[in-house]
Amino acid sequence: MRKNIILCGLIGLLISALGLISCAPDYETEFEIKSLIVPDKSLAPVSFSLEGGEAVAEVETNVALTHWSASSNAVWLSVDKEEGKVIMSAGSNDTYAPRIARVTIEYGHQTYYINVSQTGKTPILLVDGERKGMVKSVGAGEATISVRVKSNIVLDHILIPDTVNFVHIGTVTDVEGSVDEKTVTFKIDQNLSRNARYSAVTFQSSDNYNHTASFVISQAGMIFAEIPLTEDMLSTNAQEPREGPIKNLIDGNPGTYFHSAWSYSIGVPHFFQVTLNDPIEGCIFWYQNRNASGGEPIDVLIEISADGEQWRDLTHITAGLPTGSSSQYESAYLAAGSPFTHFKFTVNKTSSGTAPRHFSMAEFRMYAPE
Amino acid sequence: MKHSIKRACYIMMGVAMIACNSYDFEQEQYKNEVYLLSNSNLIYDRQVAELKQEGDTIYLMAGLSGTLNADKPFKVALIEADSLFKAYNKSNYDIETDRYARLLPGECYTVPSLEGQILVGETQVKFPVYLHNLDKLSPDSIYFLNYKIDSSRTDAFNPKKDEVLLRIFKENDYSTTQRNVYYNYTSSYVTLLDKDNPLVRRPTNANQVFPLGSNSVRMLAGDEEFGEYKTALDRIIEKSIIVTMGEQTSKNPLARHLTIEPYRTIDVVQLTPFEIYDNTFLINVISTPDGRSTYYKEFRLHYKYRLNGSDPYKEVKAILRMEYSPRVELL
Repeated sequence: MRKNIILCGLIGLLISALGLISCAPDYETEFEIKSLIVPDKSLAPVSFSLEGGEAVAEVETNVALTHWSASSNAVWLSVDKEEGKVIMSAGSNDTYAPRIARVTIEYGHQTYYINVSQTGKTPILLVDGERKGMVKSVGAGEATISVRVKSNIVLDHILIPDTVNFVHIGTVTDVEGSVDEKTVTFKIDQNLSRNARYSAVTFQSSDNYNHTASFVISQAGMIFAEIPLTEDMLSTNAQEPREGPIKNLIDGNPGTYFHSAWSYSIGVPHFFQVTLNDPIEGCIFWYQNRNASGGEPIDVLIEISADGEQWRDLTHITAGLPTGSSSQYESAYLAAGSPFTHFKFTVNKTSSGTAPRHFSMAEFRMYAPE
Repeated sequence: MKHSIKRACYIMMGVAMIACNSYDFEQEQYKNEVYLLSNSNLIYDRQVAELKQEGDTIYLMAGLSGTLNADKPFKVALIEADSLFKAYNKSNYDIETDRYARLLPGECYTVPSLEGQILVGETQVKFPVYLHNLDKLSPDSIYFLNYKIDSSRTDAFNPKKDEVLLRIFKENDYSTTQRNVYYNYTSSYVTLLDKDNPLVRRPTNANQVFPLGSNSVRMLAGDEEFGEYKTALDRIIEKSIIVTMGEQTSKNPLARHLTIEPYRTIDVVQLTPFEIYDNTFLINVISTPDGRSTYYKEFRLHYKYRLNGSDPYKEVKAILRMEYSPRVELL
């Protein structure tokens, strides 16, 4: 009986021992999580001054130094990694523009970016002491203006808008005794209209395209005076005898009108002519159609002469003439280039048909530069 | 009775032995035959050549069919052909000969060898095709190389897959001819430089960009359109500009300087940088506060152009943008 108890006890111990052994793991693996963290405060953008310097980004990692990387995408910014940190170094910025870069710190799929910037030298670009807002005013005639441009950056672009055709760049010369100033001259064409006109001029540098300076050229319009016309200065090759005497053109009454011949035919285009008392070198003409429809000029040849015999074309207008009742038209300034005393208004076509054909007109005026 | 049972057992054993006679299973297996890799139209169009100064290499593939690997090497020899090329043009374009595909000019490729061998245990052999001078190819034309198996110098081959049209695609960092690549106008202006009619337009459409050289692309100027692409050749010639990317800028390493030139007849003048329209190609990374980033390729352009010498210029201030995934491009 005792033997049996001992035997059962030994068997029980054996089973317990086996049970304990069987609970042990088949294998043991050390799972060490590798991680790399750049704290938020180190991810803030880094800004270097003009002189450059160093900045440090902390790195919390249990990865061996050789197994993670830090790099910069710009030549001017170098990056060194050490245990627990990345050192960013920048030299001085010799340009006149700020520059940026991005530092990448990565281990496997964990990637962190740090934006880095560095200020550049301060550019100076002034036109007559100002960057913007300066206005240069000139008269209507041809003119040359100059401005003094002070700049510590290369001045390689002077921009005039495409829509401006009256301003031309003249010369760019150094100012004696000053290394950073230049005198820039511009030629301004004569303004042949009554209206003032304007042009912005912008200075730009390839050292920093964003740092511009500009000024405005304001050119006055031409001032014109009406030429006093009298009846004896007017004549025509086709006066209609039944209505519309030519003197009505200058009576100041838009209700009256001049009418060319409709009751007879002359076989050539109808015209009227103005003989001036004093020679002029250019003019603007203005007219108003009669207050009824029909017979409005739509194709007009303007001829001039110094002696009333030798004529030359001043302009031929084939578009833009009004055809409405009592409508008005004012020409652009017509420069002749030489003095003339005779002005001929020939109608090649009216709203009613092609010459020889009668036309009508209520009022007519001429203006010459003062 | 016992004898009868024994006899029946012997007969059954005999039948069983006969039933185990060997059967020629090989007659049910696919044969080993050489074929040229292609799609159902006999065109192989899965490779794109990168536009690099030193050229790029694509491959013509000959494979070996069969259920089992061959126990002997298979010789493969190719010869140039044109029958499939002609059939392609006839069936696709018929009398529209100006739209015909073209054979790749000889100056644009080199094939070092047209003979190869599929070794024992392998199922294919590659014939390298060295491509160069691809910048001379029009991005609007289709280019092929046409090869067929030389029956006299090739072991058993599949006569239904003995010829292939190798489609030549080209690509650079900005576009590809394999598919249509569009950049969208964003924050853009097209201004008519006519003081009597200063019309300003804000284009929001897409502009198709075609690769030309390793660093150059072609696109339409401003808000011009070429209409239906099939008939657009004249309009493309008239209205297109070339944008060529250059060096990295000193301000931003993700930006590159660019130059703008006429493609053919257009009068185009590159203007000086103006604000964000600074004549650069920019990889624009827009990051959100939660750390996610969106990547765009952007042309930032400032130029003026006109189609006729007597017309006023149109000034273009444009950002042309295409979203992309840097990870996908690395695949």
